[in-house]
Amino acid sequence: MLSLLLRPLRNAALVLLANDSSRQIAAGVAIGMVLGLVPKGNLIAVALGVALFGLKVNRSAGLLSAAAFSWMGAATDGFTHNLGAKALAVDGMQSTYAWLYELPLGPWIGFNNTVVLGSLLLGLYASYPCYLAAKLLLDRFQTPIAAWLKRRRVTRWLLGADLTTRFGTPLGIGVGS
Amino acid sequence: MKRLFGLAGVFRWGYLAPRLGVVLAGLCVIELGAGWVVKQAIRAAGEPAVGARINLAKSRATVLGSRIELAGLQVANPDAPMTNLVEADAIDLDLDGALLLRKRAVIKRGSVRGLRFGTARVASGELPDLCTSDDTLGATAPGARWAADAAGDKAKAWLENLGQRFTADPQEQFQAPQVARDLRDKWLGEYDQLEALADQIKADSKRLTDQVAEAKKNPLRNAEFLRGVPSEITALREKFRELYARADALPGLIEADRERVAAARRHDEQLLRESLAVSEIDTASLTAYLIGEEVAGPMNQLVGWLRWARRMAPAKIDAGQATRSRGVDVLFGDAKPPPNLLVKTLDLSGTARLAGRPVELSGVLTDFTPQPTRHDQPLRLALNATGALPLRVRATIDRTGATPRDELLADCQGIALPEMKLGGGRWLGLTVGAGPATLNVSLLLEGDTLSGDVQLVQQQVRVQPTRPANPSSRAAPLREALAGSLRRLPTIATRVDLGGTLDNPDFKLWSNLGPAVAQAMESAVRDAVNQQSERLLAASQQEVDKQLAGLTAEVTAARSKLQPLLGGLDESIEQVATQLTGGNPFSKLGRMPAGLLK
Repeated sequence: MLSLLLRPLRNAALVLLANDSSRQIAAGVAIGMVLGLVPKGNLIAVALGVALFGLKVNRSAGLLSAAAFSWMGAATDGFTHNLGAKALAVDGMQSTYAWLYELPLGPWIGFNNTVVLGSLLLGLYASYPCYLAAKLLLDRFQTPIAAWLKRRRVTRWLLGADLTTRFGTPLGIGVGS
Repeated sequence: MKRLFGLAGVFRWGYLAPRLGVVLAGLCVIELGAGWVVKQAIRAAGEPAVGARINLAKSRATVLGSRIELAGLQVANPDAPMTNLVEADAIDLDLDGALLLRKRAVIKRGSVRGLRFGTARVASGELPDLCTSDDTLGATAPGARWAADAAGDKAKAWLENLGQRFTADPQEQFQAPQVARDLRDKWLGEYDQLEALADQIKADSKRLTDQVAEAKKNPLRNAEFLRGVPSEITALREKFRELYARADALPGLIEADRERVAAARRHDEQLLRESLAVSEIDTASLTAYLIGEEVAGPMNQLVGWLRWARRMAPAKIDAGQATRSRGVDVLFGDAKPPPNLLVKTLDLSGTARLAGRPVELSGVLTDFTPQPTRHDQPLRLALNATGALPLRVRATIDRTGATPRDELLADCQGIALPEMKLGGGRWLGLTVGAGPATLNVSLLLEGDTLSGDVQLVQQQVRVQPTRPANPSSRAAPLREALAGSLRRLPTIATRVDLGGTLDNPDFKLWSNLGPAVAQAMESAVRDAVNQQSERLLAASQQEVDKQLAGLTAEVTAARSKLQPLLGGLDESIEQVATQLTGGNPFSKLGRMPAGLLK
């Protein structure tokens, strides 16, 4: 139970302490941002979730980003609804939309919902800037922050003994081999 | 190839592989558990809609095979929880698999076998937490205006009035017998008075005779008395003359009073005519009185079914765009979204009991959907019953246009109607014997406007007036005359015209039974009135004759008794005069004529 309660904090620590590169962490943040913005209950959200968990990106960073942007997503519904409505009303795309909708599993995709499509477009539009900004920040601050965190006893306690194997050498508490 | 392997390095296969395995296992579970899901979905969606419990003995479904097989379906009747509204042995449904992936359940072809209706249940089908609704199955239309109600009341009042006229005894109000009785008493009293007066005169004359005889023994001493005797004799004679004159006038006065009896009799005849006069009845009112109650129940139930059907297939057209909690679902191409559930063709077969007779049912239900406004074809039901009771039913629920349209056509030949008791009132009830009948129903509900008619024709009928619990002897002739007239009625045709709206339906009732009964009643009442009048007047006349005969006899007897009395009086007075004069001293007074008192 305690482990379950501490998992978010542990994941937060893992964003910086995992052996992932800054690219992987930034990619996780970008994918999590899109996933957070898009309403759930459709194949787009499922695909984004699969991408987050299936691709070699920082999963913890993605989940934290998704959680944070879910709050923001609800606040941007008005904007994303208008954006999606405009996108779905483009004349030249109607036949494509209809074709897509008529495909098997087409109605399950959820792209015909104004907020789903609008938030997807917004997320995709913001994903690369988000990736670049996250990478820039990580390149500059990941190493010193990680070193500072590694020195904290609470960090070591959070990561737990099961992770000692992975972080044994840097932390100097690894098993002997 | 190298590039492909490089791409493969992007994925965490160690993460994906077990999860793909879990997904495959999930699909297997879905395939195996689809039957249970279908069973729960049917109960969850069906029970609130029907308002009663739905039981399903067996349910098999395959997502890959796009097929559902159900067995032992029981839908309880919300109005009678211990019976099933409908029961089916087996239901097979072939789904369109491609459309399942498009979020739509379209049953291309299905069959329902072993349909039965109204079967008994082992356990109650009542839902414990169900809120009761006005729109329960076949519920009576709350605002139904039954045009027959007022007419039925009118006929009831007419019959009540008729019955009272035949049960009331107008003899109590007859004057002639009473006048005859009064006359008899009056004249007998008169003769008694005359007799008493004669006795008085006789006693006076005797007393005077005795006093004169006594006085004559000493005339000097009684000279004063003897001088007054002649005046007393004169007074006696005067009284006698008055008595004689009254006795002489009596026969003439009696004859005059007999005229009073005749006048009273004329009054009695007039009174009888007025008391038995019956106004003409409105045939429509009589029809409403006889059939109204019998027809009102089924008609209200029929409208209740229409209301239920309209609730099941709402008339309101859905908007082209479905809204969710977040955003709006935009649809492409079609003007309206397709229905989520559609049954294209469903073959029906089973058995039922109609009017107590077993029939084999077969039919086809096409284009059924709980969202009819989203479908471009109306729901159609074609149902045929074969066997003892041939029946054809065609129903259409059309939501394709701007105005919702529901139509029901039913044609049933050879219904065996059971014996029916009509009217049931205190004064007029009819028993219609069991017999074959044909039923035609044609109903159209366009928008909210109701129109159509229901016709029932019963052949080879035997109609008889019902014998009341306490039959009145006076009403017996009326009942017999009515029975005779109704024996000639070959068929009973009844038609109910529907109008108004679904919330305020309007029914108009017509039947040939009303006019036939009215005609029979008119004839029977006329005969009964004549018979009643003759009987009552004859009884009255008999009473009058009896009183008058008694009067004549008693007056004759009284006269016979009075006549010698008056003759004796004359002699008695003469004897006083003779005794006073000792010869014929008062001969100048004269005597009464000998035949005066005859």
